[in-house]
Amino acid sequence: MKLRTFIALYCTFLCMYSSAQNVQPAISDPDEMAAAEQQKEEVFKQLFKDPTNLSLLFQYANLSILVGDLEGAIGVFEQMLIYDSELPRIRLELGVLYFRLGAFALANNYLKSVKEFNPPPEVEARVDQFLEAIVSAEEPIQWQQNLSVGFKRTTNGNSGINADFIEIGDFLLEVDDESKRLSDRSSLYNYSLSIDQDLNHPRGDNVQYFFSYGADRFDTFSQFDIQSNVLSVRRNFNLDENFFSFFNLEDPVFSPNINLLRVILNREEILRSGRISLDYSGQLDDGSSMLFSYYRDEKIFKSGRQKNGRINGISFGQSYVWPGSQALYGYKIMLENYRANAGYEFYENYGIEFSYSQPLLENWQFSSKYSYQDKSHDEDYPLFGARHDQGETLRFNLLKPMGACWSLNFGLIFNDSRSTINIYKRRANNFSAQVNYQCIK
Amino acid sequence: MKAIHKFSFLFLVVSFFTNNAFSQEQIGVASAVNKNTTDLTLEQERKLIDAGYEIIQNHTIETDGIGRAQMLLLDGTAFSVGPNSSVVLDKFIYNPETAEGSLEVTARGILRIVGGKLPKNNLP
Repeated sequence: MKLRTFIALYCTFLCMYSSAQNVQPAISDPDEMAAAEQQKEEVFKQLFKDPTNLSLLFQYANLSILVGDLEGAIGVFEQMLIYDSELPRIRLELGVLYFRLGAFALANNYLKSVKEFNPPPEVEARVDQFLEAIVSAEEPIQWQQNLSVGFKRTTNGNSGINADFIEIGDFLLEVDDESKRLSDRSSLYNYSLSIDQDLNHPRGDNVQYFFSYGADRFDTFSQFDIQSNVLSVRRNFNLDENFFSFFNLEDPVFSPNINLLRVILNREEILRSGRISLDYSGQLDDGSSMLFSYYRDEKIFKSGRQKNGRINGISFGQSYVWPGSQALYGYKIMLENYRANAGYEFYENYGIEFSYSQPLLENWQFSSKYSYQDKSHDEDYPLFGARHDQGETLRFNLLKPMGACWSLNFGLIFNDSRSTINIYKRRANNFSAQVNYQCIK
Repeated sequence: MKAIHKFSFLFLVVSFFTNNAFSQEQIGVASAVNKNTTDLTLEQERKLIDAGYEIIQNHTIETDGIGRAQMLLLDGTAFSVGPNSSVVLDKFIYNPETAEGSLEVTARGILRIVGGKLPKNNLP
C-alpha cells in the first residue's frame, strides 16, 4: 500500500508537535553556548562517519541536551534501542525527554515500558514521579497561584507635583513644599490565580481565566494606599489559516478578551474599568511574533461623572529573537482616543514601547522596557487652559527563579509625566524587591 | 552535420536533466540497522544494508517483519523505520549555511522523524 496520504497525515502530527520541540538551553552564557554548538557540530560530523561509536553517541546526546536540542538526544537514544530494545535506563531517558517536550503520549509509553524490566527502586520511583506529572499535565484544567510580598521605595510617595507654580486663569499659585514630591516606603502584597482550561479541541484551543489582588501600603502617606483587583477571561482560537491575504502569518491565533479592573484608593473605590479586546497574533515570515489588537475600555470614575467615558484603541507590536542568542527585543505602537461625558476630557493618545530581555548568568533573567505616550485633549480645561501631556517610563527588572516554587524580583522604574498644566506634572523613581511563591496547592 | 549538432545538443540537455533528476549524492547515513533492511537502488538492485551505509536520494529503504533501521540525514534529522515498512527519500534539499531546505518522502508502514535543523514546516 502506497500511503502518501498516511505519511502526510502522520507527519502533520509530527510537525504539529515538532514545532514546539526546542526547549531553553541549559547554558545561558552566549559564548559558552556558541562553543557548545560548535562542539556539537564537530561531534555530528564524526558521528556521520562512524554512526555506531558509543562514545560519540553519548557525547552528541549530552551536547544536544545542553544546547536545548532534545530531539537530537532522542534520535541517539532511539538509535540505541534499535540494537537492544531492553535498555530500561535509555527508555527512562527517552520518557523524560519526551515529557520535557510536552509529547506526553510518547513519554507515557517509554516510562511505562521501563517497569517491564524490573528496574531498581530509585529508577522506579523516578518513573512514578514522571507518570504522575504526566497525569497532572494532561488535566484539562491547570491552576497556577502566585503569592508575592515585598517593598517599594519611591521618590514620590505623596503623588507630589513636579512644578514650583500652578497657573489658574490669570493667577499664579506657588506650590508649597508639602505638595511637592516626598519620598516614602511601601509594602507590596500580591496574589494571582491563573486557570488554563484545555477545550480538547483538535487545534488546541483553550480558555484562560485570571484573577489578581494587589495592595501597595505606604508607611507615611497612607492616604495614597492603593488596592486593585483584576478579573479577566481570554478565549484562544488557534486558526487553520490566516484571515488576511496581504501578509503571511504562521500559527495565527484569534483571542477575544474581557478584562475587569477595580482600583481602591485609601479604602474608597475610585475607578472601575471594563475592557474588551480582540487580539490577532502569530508568526511572520521574518520569524518575528506579531500582535494586533483592537480594544474598547469603558471607565467609570467615582470622583465625578464628567471623566467617565470610553477608550477606543488599536495597537500593533512585533518581537524578535536576537540572532545567535536568547535575547528578545520588540516594539509596540498604540493609537487611541477617549470620549467622556465632558468635552474637555476628550483626548487623542499615541504611544510607543521598546522592550528588551535576555537571560544572564546564574539563571537571572533581565528585562527592560521604555514607553512614551503623547496625549492631546481636544478642548481647553476650565480655568487651566489647553492640556497636552507627555509621559516617559523606563523599567528594568531582574528575576531569579530559585527552584520550582520560589523566585526573587527586583524592579527599577523611572517615570516622568509632563503636561502643559503644571498640576499634572509628576516625576517618580521607584525601586522594588519582591519574593514570589508559586507552589500553592 | 546540422543533424549531428542537434542530436549532440539534445543529448546534453537530456543528460543534464537526467543527472539532476536522479542525483546519486549521499544525503545521509544508516546510523542503526537491526537485520533485514534493504536498499532498492535506481537500477533495481537490492542490497542488504548495515550501519554506516550511505543513504542516496530516491533509493527505497525497506524492512521486513523483524527489520528496524534508523537513518541520519545531513541536517541531523533522525529517520526511524519500523518493521514491514518502506521509505523513499524523494527529495532532500539542505543548505548548511542557512539551515534551510526541505524533505519529501514516500513511505508506508511505521516511521518517525525526530530532530534536525530543517524548519519543521518544510518537513512532509
